[in-house]
Amino acid sequence: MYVIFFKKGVKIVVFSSLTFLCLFLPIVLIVYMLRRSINYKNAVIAIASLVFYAWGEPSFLILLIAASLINYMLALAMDRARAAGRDKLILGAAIAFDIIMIGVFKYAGFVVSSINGVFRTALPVPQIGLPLGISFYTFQILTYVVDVYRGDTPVQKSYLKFLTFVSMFPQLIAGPIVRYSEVAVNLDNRKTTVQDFADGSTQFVLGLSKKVFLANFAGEAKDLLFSAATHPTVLSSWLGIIFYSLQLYFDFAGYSDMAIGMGRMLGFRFPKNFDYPYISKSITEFWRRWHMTLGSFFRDYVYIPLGGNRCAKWRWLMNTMIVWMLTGLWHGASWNFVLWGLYYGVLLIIEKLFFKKWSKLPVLPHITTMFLVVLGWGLFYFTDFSELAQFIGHLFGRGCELYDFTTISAFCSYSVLLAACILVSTPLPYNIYKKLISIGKVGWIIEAAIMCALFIGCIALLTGATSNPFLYFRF
Amino acid sequence: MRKYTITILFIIMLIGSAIVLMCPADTESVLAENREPQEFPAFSVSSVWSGSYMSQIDDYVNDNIGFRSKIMTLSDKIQSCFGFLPDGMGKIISTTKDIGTGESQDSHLVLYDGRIMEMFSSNPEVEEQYAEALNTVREALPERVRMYSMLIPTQLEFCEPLYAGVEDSQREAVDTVYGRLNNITAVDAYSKLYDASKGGADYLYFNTDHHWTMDGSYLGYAAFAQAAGKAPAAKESYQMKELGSFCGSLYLKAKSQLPWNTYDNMFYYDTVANGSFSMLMRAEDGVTEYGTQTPVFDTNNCNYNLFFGGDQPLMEITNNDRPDGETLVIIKDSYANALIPWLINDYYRVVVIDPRSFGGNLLNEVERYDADEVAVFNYVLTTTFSDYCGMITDLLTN
Repeated sequence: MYVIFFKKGVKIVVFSSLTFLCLFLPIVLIVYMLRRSINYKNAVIAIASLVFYAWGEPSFLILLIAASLINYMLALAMDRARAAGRDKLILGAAIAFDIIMIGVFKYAGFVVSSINGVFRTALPVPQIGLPLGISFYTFQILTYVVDVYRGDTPVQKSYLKFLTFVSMFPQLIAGPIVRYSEVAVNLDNRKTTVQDFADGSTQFVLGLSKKVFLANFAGEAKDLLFSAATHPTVLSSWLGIIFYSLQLYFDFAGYSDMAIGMGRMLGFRFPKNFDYPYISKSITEFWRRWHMTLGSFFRDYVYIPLGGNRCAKWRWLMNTMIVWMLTGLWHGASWNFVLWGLYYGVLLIIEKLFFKKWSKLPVLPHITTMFLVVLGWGLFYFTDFSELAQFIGHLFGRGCELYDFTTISAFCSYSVLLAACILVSTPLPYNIYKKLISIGKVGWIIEAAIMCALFIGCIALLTGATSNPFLYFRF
Repeated sequence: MRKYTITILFIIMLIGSAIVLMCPADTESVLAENREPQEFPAFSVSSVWSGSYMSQIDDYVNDNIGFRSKIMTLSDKIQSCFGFLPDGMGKIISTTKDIGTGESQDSHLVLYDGRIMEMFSSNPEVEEQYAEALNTVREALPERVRMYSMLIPTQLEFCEPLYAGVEDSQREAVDTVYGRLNNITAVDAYSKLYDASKGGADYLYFNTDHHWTMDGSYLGYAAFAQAAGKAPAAKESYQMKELGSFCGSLYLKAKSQLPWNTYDNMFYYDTVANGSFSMLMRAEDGVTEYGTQTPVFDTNNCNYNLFFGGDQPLMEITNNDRPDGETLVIIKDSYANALIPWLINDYYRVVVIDPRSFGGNLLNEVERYDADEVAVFNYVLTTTFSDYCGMITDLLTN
């Protein structure tokens, strides 16, 4: 099996680390606010972003800079070649470069080991470390070259501005996937109002809290239940996969909130990435609410160009399966991710063909959707198919007890956390929070108190904690 | 008003956290974790390029933040709110396990009845390696040298079934290893400990440390004597001495999640009081001598390091009252440290080798001391560490 790896012993500086919170962010914000010049601000972001990236992987910084520089020049050339009708050729070259780049660094090992597996060959498997955030910044670059080709956005003439867009540290390594057209105006002209800064900082602290309070400890519970050192039971398998589902959500949604919040503090408006996906009543709705920027990328840059649903039924089926296979593959170079993507492709097709009115029923659609989503995270989690088969067997009682002491212990030890995670997966707590902070003259005091408590709590939980990198870094 | 308040508050919090970081380092909590605080790393191009420089800065920040002890107390309090524990019920927590070989494994602890207990997770492949390593040593030893093997179970094995049932059977692992040994006498410490536990014997193992007490190790000694066809000395013939209370190695791992307060009492049976013993220690290279006067009971340590001051590469304990006695070479992990004091009165010389740190050759030592017996004493979790098995066979090639 091919396994994605980062270099051994290297830690990634993450938003939820003391180095970032106590040093990096305050310094960057102070330096950023020193002058009003847009070029100065862009330069500060670009330099800070390169330092941020290099903190984890200095060697792959060259790749990031090279990718941005080559695409910047190709886009300029494409723009100039438009009149001569050679822009399509250059677009092809840019897309080919980007796909080859991600193919080599992310998928080469997977492809070779798959060939070895199928044809029983012994080709040497390339051991290339996965560059941090390559899936995110490659897709962002692709949106740029395609949008320039389509004429949806003007070409960027300043490399500094383009590098600022590609490398922007808030969303560099785990999204949301920001299209160039969404920030093009801000790269030329932006200002951060006090309102922006206040809203951004609130969103940042809420996102940080999702990660530190909920995701990290849901992960701890999952690790206890899924560890090879404990005996699986029916209930521990279900509880474990539920905790994993919650960990994934709060990890990624927390990161997105922090990214959007920091973007706001720097004067950018990044698109929303999550909208309470676990309250969905259908798989279609789930994917409208989960990793929204990835979904819209595949819709606009793959699905629609393939013909979308305005074509023959067989073609629509094929387009859907292609898009979902690619979605799975985007998440990781392993067959379980492909299976996970195809699983959603099949579910969406079945839903669209046979269950269009299902979501209008009360309660039941929500239960079935969550059942399928949670089951899907099982495909996502286990990269080894024999382990996956065993796990699915355990979920349905094959070869294991209903529960054991580990299950009871984990449930009791994390019961309050589980309840909190489920509650925060719904809009209810945020709506209550909104109501509280809008109470007359004390609303701002309540908000300040909540912010303060959450931030101090995060610092406390991060102190002495082992490294907790975001799960989506590996994508 | 709101926007100004939140903005100012956020800036204050960021700057405040930076100031806390700049405050004088509070390394008390780091030292309590039994390690030294991370120093600020030395700059080098290669360390920056590899990413280790930045990684070490992260560790430095984590270890040197001001008020770390107080912040971590707050962290523990927050974490205690994540769940509940019904009265009298135990709890399982995740941690990592390292037996000093460099390999770290995922591990679990059971917290129950005031005790912190390691959970055993069987690894049949390594059990086979372990048995093979011992067989390899046996084959290399002179025919005249008798060889013994003792695998010591941990206390969770003897707990009530609800808790003992969460781990893999240590009995099965011990039987698997013993079943594969050739020309090596298996020492059944398991049965002695099982019988004593079921018979209501108390405090055979520490509450907060993964080792056994000297009451527990006496049962190991009795089992060894039985296997060797000798009579064990009566425990009552030695005076028991108490040192005071302490918290063991597992306490630090479980501290933040302990639902109750617990501690241990350090005591020992003074098996050297009435004899004349001399001690010699040799370093990793197997040649350099050091600390010749380190006592069997190092009472400066009120913890498991009471025994010989902890693990040493090679120790030679000579019983000057028994010049006609036999010589026993022991290959061991730290579990044996509490057992050896029981043995030293029965032999002229006991030579103790720790394969994790000894760099010399076992066969040379057997020849040098003209050993009559070789015994391998380890606790059962060593059968899950393949590198430990490799270290045993390395003793033949060093």
